[in-house]
Amino acid sequence: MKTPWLVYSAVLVLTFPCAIAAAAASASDSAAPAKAPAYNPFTLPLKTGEAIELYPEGTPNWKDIGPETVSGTTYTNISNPRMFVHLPPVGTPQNGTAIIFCPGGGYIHVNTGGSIEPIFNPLGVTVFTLIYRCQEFGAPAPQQDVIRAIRLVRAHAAEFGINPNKIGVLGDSAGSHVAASAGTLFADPVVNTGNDLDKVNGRPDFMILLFSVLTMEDPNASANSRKALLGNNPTPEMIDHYSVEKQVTANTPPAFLVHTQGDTTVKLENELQLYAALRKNNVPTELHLYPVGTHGSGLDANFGPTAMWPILCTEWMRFNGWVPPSPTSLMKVQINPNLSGPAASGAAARNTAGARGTAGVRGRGARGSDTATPAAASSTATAN
Amino acid sequence: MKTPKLFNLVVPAFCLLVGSAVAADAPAVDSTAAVPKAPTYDPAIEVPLKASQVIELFPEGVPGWRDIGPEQYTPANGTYTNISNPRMIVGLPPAGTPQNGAAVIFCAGGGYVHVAGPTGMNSWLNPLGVTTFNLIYRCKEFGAPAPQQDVMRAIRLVRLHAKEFGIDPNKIGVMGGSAGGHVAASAATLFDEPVGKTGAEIDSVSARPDFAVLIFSVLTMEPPYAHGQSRDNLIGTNPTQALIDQYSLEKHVTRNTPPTFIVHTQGDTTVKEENDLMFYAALRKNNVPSELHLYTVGPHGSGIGNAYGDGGIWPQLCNEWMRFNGWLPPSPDALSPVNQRAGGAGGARGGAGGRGRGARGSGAPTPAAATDASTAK
Repeated sequence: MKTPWLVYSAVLVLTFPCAIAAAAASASDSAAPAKAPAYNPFTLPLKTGEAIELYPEGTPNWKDIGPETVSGTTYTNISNPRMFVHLPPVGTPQNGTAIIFCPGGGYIHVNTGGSIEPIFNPLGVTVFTLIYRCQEFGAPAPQQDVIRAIRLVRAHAAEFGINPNKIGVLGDSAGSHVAASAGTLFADPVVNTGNDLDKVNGRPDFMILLFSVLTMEDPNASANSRKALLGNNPTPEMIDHYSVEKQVTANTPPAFLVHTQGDTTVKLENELQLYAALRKNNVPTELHLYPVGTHGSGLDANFGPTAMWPILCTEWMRFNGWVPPSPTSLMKVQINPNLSGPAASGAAARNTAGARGTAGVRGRGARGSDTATPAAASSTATAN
Repeated sequence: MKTPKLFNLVVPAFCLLVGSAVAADAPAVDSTAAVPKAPTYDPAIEVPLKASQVIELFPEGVPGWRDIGPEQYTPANGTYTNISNPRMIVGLPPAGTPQNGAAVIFCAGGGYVHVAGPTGMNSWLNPLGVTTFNLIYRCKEFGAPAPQQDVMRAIRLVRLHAKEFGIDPNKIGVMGGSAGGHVAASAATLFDEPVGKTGAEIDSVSARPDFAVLIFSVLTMEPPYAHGQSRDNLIGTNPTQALIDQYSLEKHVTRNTPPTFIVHTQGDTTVKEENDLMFYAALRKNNVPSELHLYTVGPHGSGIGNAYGDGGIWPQLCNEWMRFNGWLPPSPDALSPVNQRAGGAGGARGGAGGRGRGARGSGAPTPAAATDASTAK
């Protein structure tokens, strides 16, 4: 495999502060960007546990915040955003679908303990667990990180064993804000870094959002997350920009939303507001709200039906072609007959004609199709 | 069973509601005359219940009854039209499956034009041990509050006769689809209000359902999300704001509204799921433990086990919800590993028992409710 990033890795590592980093960025052809650790190119085939760094050209707006600390599953003081690979278990082939998992942590740290890998890996899904920048950088760093992650996976889809049209995001708590940012800000200049990878489509093909922080607007904003992302006194423009529900368009990808009334940390009104926006834009969406379950308790069996969301989510993915049919499926019809081509009934049909058609024009072959489109493939190749 | 006293006063009140044209058809009010009533009712309901047994709702005479001509039944789709004799049809668990104490009063849809067949409800619920009562409620020929009176009387009747029917008086739920969702949710919200009462002694029995399942539901009467046909048929083409408010059920949710399970699809272009979103917002505000499942595909009334993919598994989700809340017994076939709430059955909230509604929040029959029922008898 040709790895253009290697060019950068040979460059002397600079540890200048921001001012110089900015200068370097403006003269990126001649000066090396600031970036603490040397870039580690990934090796193929992918291995579980391997870290893939997101910015071979240097982390945008990097500054020296001191060393990262890891305690258990909690990563704090992150300045080197990356993703950890989780492959399907031995004997289960990759099915082409990727999930970029954005763990929660209130934008204070990233706690990967939500362990969704055991849910999706056995289905053949390749999971990339995102270690994104938090309060030390603030917006738009986490947004840049998640969208770069999507671009990177899509650019290297063939080598990673991924279908470039089956790249989803999954978020939990503040991680949902990260994931949903990808679904709404993928074409926003704020996430571009000036790298060639900006040309690769950053739109996720689907979003799974659990116990989600989504709005930055009172009264339903989660105060800690907002402060960590936008600071103490965000402008109304900042609040609008990062209130996910205000950025929804007809091109926002299909979403699967879960929350509980028992969550007193993050209010389920976040989901209701986003759902209203998705509904208004005819984005095919599932909303599942349960009575019991505390914040982030989604896999605790004691909460009964709430803990069934992985079953519902798997069926949703199956019906949409992101997970193959299975004899253990609860569904009578396992594949949406409207997946490809014009269809007769239901919201999926409306969106095939609407959002998906439009998306195709913009080179987003990723939308709504069960198979890779030549357009998407060639765009990937170009960016590569 | 002793037939409850007859109360005639509801008749003129009802006539006022449905307008003068209707009032002209109604019999003259005479305090000494019996309430007019077409079929003769034998108050002694045969027990034990048998499958397909018909139980009439108003042994004392149907409130506001008038002669609208014969009812029609269309076997092809199981639809009942021109109903003036509201009743319920019993569905029992199959031989070998004991009644588990839970009852579901099922309100089929039909836009308040007619009452559709109970498509698949019995074959879903009866094998779980649930006793079903398929409600044949009055529609556009009577308008409000006839369907509301019917469903609330049905609940009172089942609760009153719980013991003889093999029912736990604290496990009586309502389920409704489309306009039937409006009927069911009427019981869940208006159970204590005068609209559901007829003046009979049985009014003293609680009409509050213990749970509500609302499917592709009509719930609001307020534009722009009201389902026009259902509204016209229930409250007329030019309803007053007071009538709209009375039957916009999201405006009547309180903390006593029972736990609710809601299903709808974005693909429903007949009845908009904003009905559910508005209703859910009210449930949420009042801390009523509720599940909301909104799916993408599937047209209006696509119902049970349909061809619309993952939305078609909602009955299984409903089973899990009922099981977790103690309205169904635990099962080795359950999808959730912990399929009964820790600390016993009941709604998600404690404290409901203190409100004198024994029906609320407890999986076990309460002496209070039982006493209530026998007093009313």
